[in-house]
Amino acid sequence: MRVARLMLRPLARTIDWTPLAVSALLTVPLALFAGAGADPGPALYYAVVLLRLSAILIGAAAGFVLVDPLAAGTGPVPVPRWLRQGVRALLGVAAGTLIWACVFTVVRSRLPGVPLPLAGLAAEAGVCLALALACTASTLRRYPDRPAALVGAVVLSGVLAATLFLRGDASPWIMPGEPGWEEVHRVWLAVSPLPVIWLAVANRDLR
Amino acid sequence: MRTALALFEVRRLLRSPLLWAAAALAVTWRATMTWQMMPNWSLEAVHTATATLIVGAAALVAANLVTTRDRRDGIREALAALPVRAPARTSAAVVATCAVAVLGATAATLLLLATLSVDAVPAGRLDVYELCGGVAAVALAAALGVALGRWIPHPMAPLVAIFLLGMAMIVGAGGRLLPVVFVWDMPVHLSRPSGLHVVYVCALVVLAGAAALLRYGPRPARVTAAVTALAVAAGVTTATAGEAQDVPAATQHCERRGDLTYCAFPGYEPWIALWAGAVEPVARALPPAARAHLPQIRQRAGGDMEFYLPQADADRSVRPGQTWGRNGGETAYRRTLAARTAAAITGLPWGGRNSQVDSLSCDARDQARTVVALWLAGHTAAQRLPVDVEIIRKFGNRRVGTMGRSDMGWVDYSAAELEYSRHLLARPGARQAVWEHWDRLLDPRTTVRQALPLLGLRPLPATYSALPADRMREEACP
Repeated sequence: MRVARLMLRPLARTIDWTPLAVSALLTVPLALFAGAGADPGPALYYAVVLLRLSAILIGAAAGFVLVDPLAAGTGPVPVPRWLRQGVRALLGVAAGTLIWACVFTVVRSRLPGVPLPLAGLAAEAGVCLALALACTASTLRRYPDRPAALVGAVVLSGVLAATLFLRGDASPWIMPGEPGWEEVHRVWLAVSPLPVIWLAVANRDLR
Repeated sequence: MRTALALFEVRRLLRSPLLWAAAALAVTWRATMTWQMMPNWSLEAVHTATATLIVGAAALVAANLVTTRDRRDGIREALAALPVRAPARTSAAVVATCAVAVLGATAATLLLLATLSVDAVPAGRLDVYELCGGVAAVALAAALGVALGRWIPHPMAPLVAIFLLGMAMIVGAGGRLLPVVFVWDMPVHLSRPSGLHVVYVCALVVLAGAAALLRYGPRPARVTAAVTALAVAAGVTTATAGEAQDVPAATQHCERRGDLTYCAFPGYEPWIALWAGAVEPVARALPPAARAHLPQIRQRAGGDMEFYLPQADADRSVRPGQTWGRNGGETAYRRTLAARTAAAITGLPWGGRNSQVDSLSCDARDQARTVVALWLAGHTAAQRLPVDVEIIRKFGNRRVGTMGRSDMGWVDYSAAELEYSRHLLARPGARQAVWEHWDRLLDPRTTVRQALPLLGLRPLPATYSALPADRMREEACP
């Protein structure tokens, strides 16, 4: 734990924060447009779509946090790879959560009368973030270069597109207030440990 | 040299799973959505073009990866020894990525058209320019990927572009400036300058390609291409700015078939035979005297009939919408159209009620005409019980109760009426019995118990007449 704490600052300096910064610069201002219409129905739709797409963009951007430009030279260092990558992942999760929380706060402040279920939407965002990180971590084991981070985005987009045509209770993207919201989000919570375990396994030492 | 480079990139891209996986996803997604829906070519062309944007997103990422390849570790030194420089590689990347993107998008489009043609009686007119616009938009995504790779060589750039374009499409920002202009509603007749829009998108492809090359200096050819493309795009945008996209519904085409008159919007005439297939068995089951005043089957603008909640119609016409089913999906449409026709003939209330009671539905239990209506509709397709529509207070997420909505509209009935109608359908001589007592059976005051001896049916246990316990309060159907 002490080593991890000591590594925080040096690792934070080596991380390319540009993608996460760009995602924040895109999503937070867009959240200001929530509630631009008078009708609460379209406003809720816009808000939920924005929160979900933001989660995907932030997840994709967080994948870049795992890219270690010196991966080829850091094999023999005494701190194991799983710890270095774990600390990177934690930093990415913290920054991603912060950005998404900002988007959510802005959206909620713009739509005071519209109930946005934080727990359910946060569960969706958390799974997206963890899934993108897990995909990137797996790819980095074979291709330790920056474009590896795109794999997380591609997988997330693919999962989004593949699940969009599921109907009714089978759809993971139902709107707040629709019947089955609670049940669907219990499934989101139930699957949430899977990408986290996948991420931990993908971060293990190479040899 | 450039040709060889372009061919090399084409071969590499053709082996890349990204584009083909995206094409497979687009086809699977759209085919699943439309498999049981009868195609309306006017709208399907737009929806197909929209679906190919999944290929466009993949093309944007793939083109970006191709372009940023020469900035990866160790590649810069290796490329320095080659006889051509970055501009040549860029132009080869533009040509190769656009060619493969067009190939992938065309394959996806043709496959989607093939799936739409299975067991189809299509309505509308297929606008080939709309499809070409979708393919051109995918080429634009590829060219944009190259331009972004040259100007902003960070892997995050294509993701940002996809996010912004996706948000713009979802919220409808940008209008005609977007590469594919999505249609959210269901216009009766879609008429927009699709040919000019293809020119606009092609101009943007040239502009993106020129922008990628302008990274290496403003050479005359590049500047000319960019300025020309910009002028064409601006000209087309200006020329099409005032043109209406949705033309109001034209006069309907009406056709007499047997005892019934059918009216369809232009382009939907082939569906008259489909409607007739559902309605004629109902008409044939009527006593000859009752066939003189049958409701008109008149198409209305809008989508799914099952979910349409009609207001009271002065002329009591039956209103199929702009959707129909195929590949098994037509069963529900046939059943609903037959039920609506039977409801209109038997005088059951048409639209939702706005009276003092809680529910929109009215209670048609213990009315002989309900059994007759279900019997009539049963000649076309097996009828079913009303579905329970859950009423949830939206912003409190509190369940209030249920309303019964049947295929006849906001008309609620129980298993007893349905079961009597099934017994009646199975009973020989039922038609003569119904015809003989037609006027009495259609009287709203005639109860089921009074009708049973007339129809030769035996009473069912009282439990058949029960409605779900959480049903909201309903008035008897007038």
